[in-house]
Amino acid sequence: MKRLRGAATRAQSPVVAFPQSFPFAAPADQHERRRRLIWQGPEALVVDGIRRDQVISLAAVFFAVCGFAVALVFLRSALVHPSLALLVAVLSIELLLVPRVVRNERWVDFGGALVVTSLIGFVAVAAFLAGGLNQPIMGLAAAVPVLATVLLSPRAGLLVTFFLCALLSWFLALHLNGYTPALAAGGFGEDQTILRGCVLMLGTVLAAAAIWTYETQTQGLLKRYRLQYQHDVVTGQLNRWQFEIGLREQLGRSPPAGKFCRDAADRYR
Amino acid sequence: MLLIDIDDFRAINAEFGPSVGDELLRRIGAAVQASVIGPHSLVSRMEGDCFALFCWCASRNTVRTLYDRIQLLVTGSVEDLPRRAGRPLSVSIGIGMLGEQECADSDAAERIYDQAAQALARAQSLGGNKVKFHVAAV
Repeated sequence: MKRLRGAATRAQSPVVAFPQSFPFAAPADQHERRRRLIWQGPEALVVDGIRRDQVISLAAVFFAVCGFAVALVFLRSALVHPSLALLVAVLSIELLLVPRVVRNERWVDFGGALVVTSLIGFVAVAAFLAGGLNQPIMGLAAAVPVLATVLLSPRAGLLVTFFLCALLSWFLALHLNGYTPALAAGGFGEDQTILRGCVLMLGTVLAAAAIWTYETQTQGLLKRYRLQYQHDVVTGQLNRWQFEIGLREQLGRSPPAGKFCRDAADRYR
Repeated sequence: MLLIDIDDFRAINAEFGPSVGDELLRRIGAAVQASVIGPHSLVSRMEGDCFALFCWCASRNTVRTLYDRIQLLVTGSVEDLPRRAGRPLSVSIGIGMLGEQECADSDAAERIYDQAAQALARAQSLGGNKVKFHVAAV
């Protein structure tokens, strides 16, 4: 858009610190951020004094230790296919990498994705051993990439999706090779409808909550950006760019009948 | 269209600090906003200490009433702010006007802005605290 020409020479105010007068000012926003928890968005902070990387690291190490213990049990047991023990060991190693990845708040989303993939991997292995990847587990797994995308980042969502695909391929390869988990008989029985329904509902609720959180944050940010983009930060009035747009619109249409400033100005007399 | 410029704003900012300068801008912005009523007017802080006001006016008398009102509101709104010794706060106003037929021209926005800017420059060159119409508007 062609800029208006011919401004008169005017005194310019010196550059000063960002003023706090505008709606959505910084202090209130910072306070708002402090109250958010780890699962409320990729830029959120954990409650005061605890960083996200610390929480993720602790959780990862805990699950890694559990994973190694399970892998050891699998290896010693003749009932489980050795590749599944290897899979659990890989998932545990993946978890052990997490503290290094997320150190100093770097790649927190990537670390979070590793945690999610490992946990969903453990659940999937358990489900596979208990009778195959049945419907509820698949329903829950379907929600996980959505959760990772919304709560961590699109990159994390992509990683989780790739991982789930790899995991399914692994199970499929085992199945095609004729492997049947020996523990299947002890898994979900025929009469597990309520349990399956609960797991499916949990997945749905999680996905819905994630999408709601994401949408709320996005809408709030858009509103904020729109306001800052269109208004002067000190006075809250239209900025020059928006004024030009409004001016062209006003001049482009005929004068509003009965809306002349006379109506307003006469009140001052 | 009225361009409203705060006289000696740089000096005020330098003397009392940017926080007073910002408060002054807010007060004057609010005063300019309060001077017009209705959805068909536009008020903007163009840059630095310059505000712009666009509205549809039926006659020059209406414009006079309007800028009188602006000066009155501006003076009233900054009474409690620190002021420079012997220099009450004032604003210079430049006014550009277009006839109803001219508004349909494709360059109407540029023309009315140029008019107002030239009138403002003239008001400032006369020492400030003045209201000047563009020649074409006269």
